[in-house]
Amino acid sequence: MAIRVQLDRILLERRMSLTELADRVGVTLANLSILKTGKARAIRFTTLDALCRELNCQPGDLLAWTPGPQDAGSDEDLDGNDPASK
Amino acid sequence: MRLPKRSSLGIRLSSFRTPALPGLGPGPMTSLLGIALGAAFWALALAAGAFVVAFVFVAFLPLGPLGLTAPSDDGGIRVPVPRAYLLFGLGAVCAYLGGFAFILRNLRAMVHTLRIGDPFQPDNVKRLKQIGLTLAVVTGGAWIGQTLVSRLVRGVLEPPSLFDLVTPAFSILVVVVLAQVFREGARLRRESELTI
Repeated sequence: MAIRVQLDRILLERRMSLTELADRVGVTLANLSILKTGKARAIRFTTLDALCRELNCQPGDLLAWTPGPQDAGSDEDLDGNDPASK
Repeated sequence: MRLPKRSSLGIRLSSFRTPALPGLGPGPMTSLLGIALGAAFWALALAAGAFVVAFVFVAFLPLGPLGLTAPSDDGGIRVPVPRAYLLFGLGAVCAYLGGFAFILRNLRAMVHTLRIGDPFQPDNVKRLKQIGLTLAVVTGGAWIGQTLVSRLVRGVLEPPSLFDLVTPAFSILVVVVLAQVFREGARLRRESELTI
């Protein structure tokens, strides 16, 4: 995914932990970790709104686009095959 | 250019309310389905087991000449049946019952995912594909078996026609299409899970 969520940098600047941000935004820590590590496929505007409100930043501060090879996400594991066996 | 105003038809959109859909979660139908599938599965599994025992009995125990009585105008003709034919028949019945027991086992697992409210799983896609394949093998095998028996042991069975395969073929087609629908459902579920 070429879109990166730059939560690490902003959390460092605001001196806030991921746990504290999760509590303030109302998103679980697990989901926020998914967002931070770039595994999320989409983000709701309501979530983005809450993040910008709590971090006092613009959406452009949080999101960055870096051109590179696209990982489209394999649909092979939708057939019920165990990906670990590959 | 300004378009002329249409005269109102006197209908307010707010007066139309779509009826609230009833709760679509797992309900009594799912529970009933689970019970029926469970009962059918165990009945078929036991029957298949009984035929396996009969197969072993015929295969290994010494038996006298075996035969079947085919109906005729004189009251019946005794047709000798070689042991190999009988074993083939018993094996075919075991495979038939076992195949349907396997289908029911997969259906039970799918109903379980319905009960927990998460049916669009990749495992269900695999199960549906297995069901389609098993249906194809069992119904095709039964048709071929019936054809062979009708030719080898005349008078016992009517030879089947190709039209007997039409309904099973449509059933298999429906299952294959459903598998693709579930695959798409699993993809949408995964997208929804990874939407923060």
